[in-house]
Amino acid sequence: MLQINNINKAFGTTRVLQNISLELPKGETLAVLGRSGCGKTTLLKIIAGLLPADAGEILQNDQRQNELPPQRRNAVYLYQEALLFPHLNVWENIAFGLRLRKTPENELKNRVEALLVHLGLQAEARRMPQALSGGQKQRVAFGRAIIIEPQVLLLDEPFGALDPETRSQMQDFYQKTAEQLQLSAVFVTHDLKEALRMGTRWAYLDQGQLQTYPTREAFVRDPKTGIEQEIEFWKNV
Amino acid sequence: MVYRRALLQKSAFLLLGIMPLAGALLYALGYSLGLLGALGQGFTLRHWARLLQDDAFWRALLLSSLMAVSVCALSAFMALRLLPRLMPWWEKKRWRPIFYLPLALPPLVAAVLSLQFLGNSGMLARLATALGMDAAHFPALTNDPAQLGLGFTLLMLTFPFTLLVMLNHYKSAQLSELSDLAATLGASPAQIRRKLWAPVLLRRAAPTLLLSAVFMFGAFEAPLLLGRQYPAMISVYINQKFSRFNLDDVPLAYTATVVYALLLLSALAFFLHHQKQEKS
Repeated sequence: MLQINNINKAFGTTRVLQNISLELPKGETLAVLGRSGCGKTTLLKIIAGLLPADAGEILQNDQRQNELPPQRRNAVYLYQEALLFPHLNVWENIAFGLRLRKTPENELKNRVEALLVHLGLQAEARRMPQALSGGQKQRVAFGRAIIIEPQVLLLDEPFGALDPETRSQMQDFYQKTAEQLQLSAVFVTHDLKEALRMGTRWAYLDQGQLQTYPTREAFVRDPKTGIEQEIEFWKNV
Repeated sequence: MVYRRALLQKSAFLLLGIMPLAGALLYALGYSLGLLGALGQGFTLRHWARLLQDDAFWRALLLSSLMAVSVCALSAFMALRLLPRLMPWWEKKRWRPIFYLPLALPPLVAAVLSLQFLGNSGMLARLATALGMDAAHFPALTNDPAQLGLGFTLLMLTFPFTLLVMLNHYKSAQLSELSDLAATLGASPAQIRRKLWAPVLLRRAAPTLLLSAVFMFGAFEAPLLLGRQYPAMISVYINQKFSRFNLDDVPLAYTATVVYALLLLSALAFFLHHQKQEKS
């Protein structure tokens, strides 16, 4: 379980995050809704260990993470762009984390092959990243992250650069995989529909302050999220 | 109009860029085969046979190749190691002129500086003497058998260029973001350098590294001042043959020039073929 207590972060005189606290039990996805520049990326980077927090504590299964470097946190950060390693083919991109862990070759081969089947990318295994479509790239990026069985996935608008159809397919794919593998994830997005679809828990980040909601209904009903306004708009179209 | 301009540009490139080089190469080939020049007496392979039996020629080729490859490799290694430390300076635009400044250093000036720094009466020797070292025991660092002074100078000329190329590729290859991602996947800083930076940057910088190697292979001023007469770098070897009193050595110089040009053209063709294959 991921637990964050009173995280604060400022860049110069600008306070980006103020007393952020949240809990994420195993197998849940916390959808964090927020506008651009509200501090979503900073929050994820602090959890991943890519940025230091000014104050506060990050715990994973009751173990303090603040002093650990990113490579020892077991929290994978996924960007909006797939960011596949350009010198490696699909197979080697997915195997990257296992090779770092010196996984025996047989086990590595079996795990990569099984994941390629799950991702529907067997035919693309030997292709280089530049020969893949946007959706395929994101699936590879996703596979590369989940193969190392991270404690938590940190998803920074991962489907933001995809066209609507591919985005919808990837959302389905994520939901299915998260349920099947019991993934824990913090999923930040500025898209209302995506937040509702992807989350099993919800939060709203505004001007560095995080509001968490006990239920989906509470999240929908809060005027700050703008969901009711959106519903009204579509009713009146 | 656009077609005419393109045709004009191609013709100008052919006329000014390719034809003089091709002409010079053909002239050298004709000379090497006894077909041209004051001493030319008709077709003969005598000059080729003499060159291929000349131990100094093979040593010059070997030395030039080793120098080009080792200086290039060392320059790339140093650039990769120093990249994370120098990147913050590079990103502050006011510091950038400092990175470009060494590129203005002419090879001859670099060679003279090396002489003044590493020579037997140079700054390093004076410092060693001031610290109590017997001047007679100061090691030869210029015109030395291991060609250390020459290697140092070529490195001084190549490293700033390699570093600049890598700094530019670091940004365009999104290596900062890729490194963060690799770290969250479990890569240590050393693994990031070895498994990410090195393959990505070396691949991108390969054309530039090849050009640097070509430049070093044919370097002249620095080897002339800091290298040895035997074995000499290939450019110095060719110059020795051209400037001898023995006129029979002139065709030998032309023959060596043809070999030199063919070697570089083969390296270029191999590289272009490799790149084409990689793209497809």
